[in-house]
Parts: sequence; C-alpha cells; structure tokens
Amino acid sequence: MKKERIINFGRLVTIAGHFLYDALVSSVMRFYLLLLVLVVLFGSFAAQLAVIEQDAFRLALSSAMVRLLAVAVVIVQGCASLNEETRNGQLELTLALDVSRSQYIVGRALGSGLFAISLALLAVLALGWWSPGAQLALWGLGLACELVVMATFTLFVAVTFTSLATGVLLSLAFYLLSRFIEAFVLMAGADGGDTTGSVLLWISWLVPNFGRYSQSGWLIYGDATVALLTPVVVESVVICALLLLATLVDFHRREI
Amino acid sequence: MGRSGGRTPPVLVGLLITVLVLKIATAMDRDPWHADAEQLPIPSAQLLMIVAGGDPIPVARLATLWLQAFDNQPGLSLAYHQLDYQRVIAWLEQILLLDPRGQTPLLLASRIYGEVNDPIRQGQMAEFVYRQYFDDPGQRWRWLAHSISVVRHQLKDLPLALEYASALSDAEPAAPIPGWARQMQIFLREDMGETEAVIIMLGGLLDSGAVQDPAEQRFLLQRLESLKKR
Repeated sequence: MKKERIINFGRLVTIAGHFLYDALVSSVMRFYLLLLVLVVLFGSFAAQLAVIEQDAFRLALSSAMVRLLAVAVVIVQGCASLNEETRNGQLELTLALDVSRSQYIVGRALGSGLFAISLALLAVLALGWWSPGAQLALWGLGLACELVVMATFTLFVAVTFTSLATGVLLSLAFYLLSRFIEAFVLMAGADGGDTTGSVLLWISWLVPNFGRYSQSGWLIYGDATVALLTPVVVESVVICALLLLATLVDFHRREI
Repeated sequence: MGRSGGRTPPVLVGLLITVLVLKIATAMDRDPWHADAEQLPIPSAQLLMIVAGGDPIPVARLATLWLQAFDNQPGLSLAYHQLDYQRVIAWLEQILLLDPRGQTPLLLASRIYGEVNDPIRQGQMAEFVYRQYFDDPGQRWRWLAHSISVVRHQLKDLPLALEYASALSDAEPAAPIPGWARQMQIFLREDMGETEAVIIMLGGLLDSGAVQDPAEQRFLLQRLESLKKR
C-alpha cells in the first residue's frame, strides 16, 4: 500500500498544473472567451437602449451575465475533465504511479481553484473599462470566491457521480440553491416559519449565500468595502475545506 | 482510406424536392398571422425577489429595458395611452424597490409616460413621482420639479402643483436641491394671485441668507419690488 502523504508540493503543483493547462487550452475556454466578448457587446447594446445611466445598465447586465457564464464554464470543465480522465484510463494510470489518492484530489482542487481565479480575472478585464479599479477588484475577489467554491463542489460531485450529466445537473442545482437561498429563507419566514422554513434555514447553514458574494451595485454605485468581503472570504475557505474533505473521504472509498 | 461517394439516387433527389414543395405549399395555405396587442402583466414582488438571487440590480435594469420597450410589440407599436398605467406604475414601483438608487424609472414616469396627451394618465404619473420623491429627495427632486411643470402648464392644476412644490421647499436644508426648485412654490403662489403671501415668502427667503448667488439675489429682489408696486 502506498504511503499517504498529502503535502508534497512538487506533486501537487504537477497535478494542479496539468489540470490548469488542460482547462486553459480546452475548447470550453475558447467558448468562454468568445462569449465574454459577446457579453461585453450585449452590455454596450443595452447601454444604447437606456435613456440615462448608460454605464449602470452596461455594468449591471454584463456583470450578471459574465458571472453566470463563468459559473457554467467552471461546472462543465470540472465535470467533463474528470469524466474524460476516468473513461480514457488516465486516472487509473496516474494513481498507478507514485501518487496517492489524497495528493491527486488536493492537486486537482488546487488546479480547479486556479482555473476559477483565471476566469474571474478575465471577467474583471472584460469589465475593467467601465468600472473604478478598487471596486472592480473587490467585485472580482467576490466572483473568484464564488467560482472557487463552485469548482470545489464540482470536483466533489464529479468524484461521487461518474455520470457527466448527473455531475453537471447537481452542480447547477447547488449553484441555484446557493444563489437563491436567502430569498427562499426570507419568503418561508414571511409565511410564518413552518417546517419548510426550518428546513430551509438548516440548508442555509450548509450552503454558501452567493447572493452576497459579488453585487452589481459595487460596480455601479461603488459601495463595496473590504469589511463586506471578509465574511465572504472566510465562508468560502470553510466551505471549500468541507467540500475537499468530503471529496477525499469519497475518493478513498471508491474502487478504481 | 474512405470510400468515395457514388451517384445520389434520382428517386431520393426527387423525393427531397417533392417534400420541399409540399412544405412550401402547406405554409402558403395557412391563415395569415396577425399581431395581437399584449397588456402588461401584474408584477410579482416575490418572483422578482427570487429571480434577483441576491443581486437585484441586473433584474431591475433588465425589467426597465423591457418596460421601456413594451410599447413595441411584434408587428405593432402601441401608443403610451394604450398601456394600463396602473400596471406601468406597479412595475416602476417594483423596479425602484429592487434598485432604489436608479433614476431611470422616475425619468420614464416624468418625461416619457407623463408626457402623453391624457390628463388622467399625466396626473397618475405626477402623483407617482410625488410619492417616490419622499424616499430620496436629494436624488429625486429633479423629476418632481418636471412633474410640477407638467401639472402647472399642461394639467393647469395650480393647487396640486403648489402641493408638490411645497414638498420641494419643505425638504431638509441639507438635501442637495437647488434654490430655483425650492422657490417654485413662491412663483406658483404668484400665479395663483397670492401676492401678499409671495411678498412675505420672498422677503423671508432673502432675509434668511439661504440665497447666496448675487445674480439670484438681484433677481428675487427685483421680483419683490415689482410685486410691492402692484
């Protein structure tokens, strides 16, 4: 049996670099870049339709679409990549080398995180012309946190469910639940706080509240502060750690 | 090495052309399409809150563009007075709830929907702008000032215009509302023939020191003198 030693930076960097390189040269990435250009053009079109506050319309619509686009890319790339490695035997081959399961998963999570941050950076560059730098940086940090959490969750479902469609659908469901959880809890609470309300409240303790991660208002009205983002970063770190541990537990019990 | 393609069977080509002709023939036979005007749906605050997903501004902006373009429907263009103004107002209210700092809904209310040649609808929009003004006088005074001019000159309802103008003059001194907007009330009273009240108000305004600009002071002083000579 191979000796389990997670902290081997050389191997972690190799596995992370491999995933990152694969993701950056993939067709999904080219698709992302193309759609990023289209989103910016759509934002300009929307600004032309507006009678006043053109930049507000451009930023509100572009930032919302860029966010959705980046999340979709993280989910598809994360699920498709592990699925492909499993099907073509590369996963089996990698684990037959002197790489432990823990190192493989941690390296892969690191690569996914770096890929998510790259997508957030590209999104920031796409909106950079119309928004003040400091606010854009804070919005970009919020988006990066959101994407890193999604990348880690996608890794978890891709390991647990070998089917590509199941992985993508579950990741999308998790994203939607996390984005709308505050509205759901508030609405359930407004109706008197019955069993549904309690269940939603328990769920809200588990999932991140993406509604607070990257607000369009920060770009338009410039009201983002570091204090506003600190809990977001802390929550992201805790959730990523939880998801990574769950992935490790599941990957160790899996027969490969 | 792949096999090179052979000659397409003529029956297949003939069948393709026949089906194509059949498709066009059946399409030509159908009833002509006609455009039906759609009325605005009633906005749902809960649905908008859910769709917003914690970031309401993009939804507010998208709803604004949709509402702004609602008069242009496929195949026809509606006049503003054909819209249900109660629903337009309900949408504008919801949009302002989602993005209270956005100014476009009030611009649409005061300068687009409020400019129709229909006194009832103009009054509805002016009243909407008046109600919304109190939530953020510092940002929304300009739309109320425009609505006052609509009420004064198009609806010719001086008491109502005066009521709206009083809201501007009664605003907190710290609110960034320019002097001319705060002074609308005085000139409306003059139009209503309340000369004595205007003399008192103008005198009070000049004595208070609130007017700092020398040109404005001179103008108000001249106005005061001419009123006193009447």
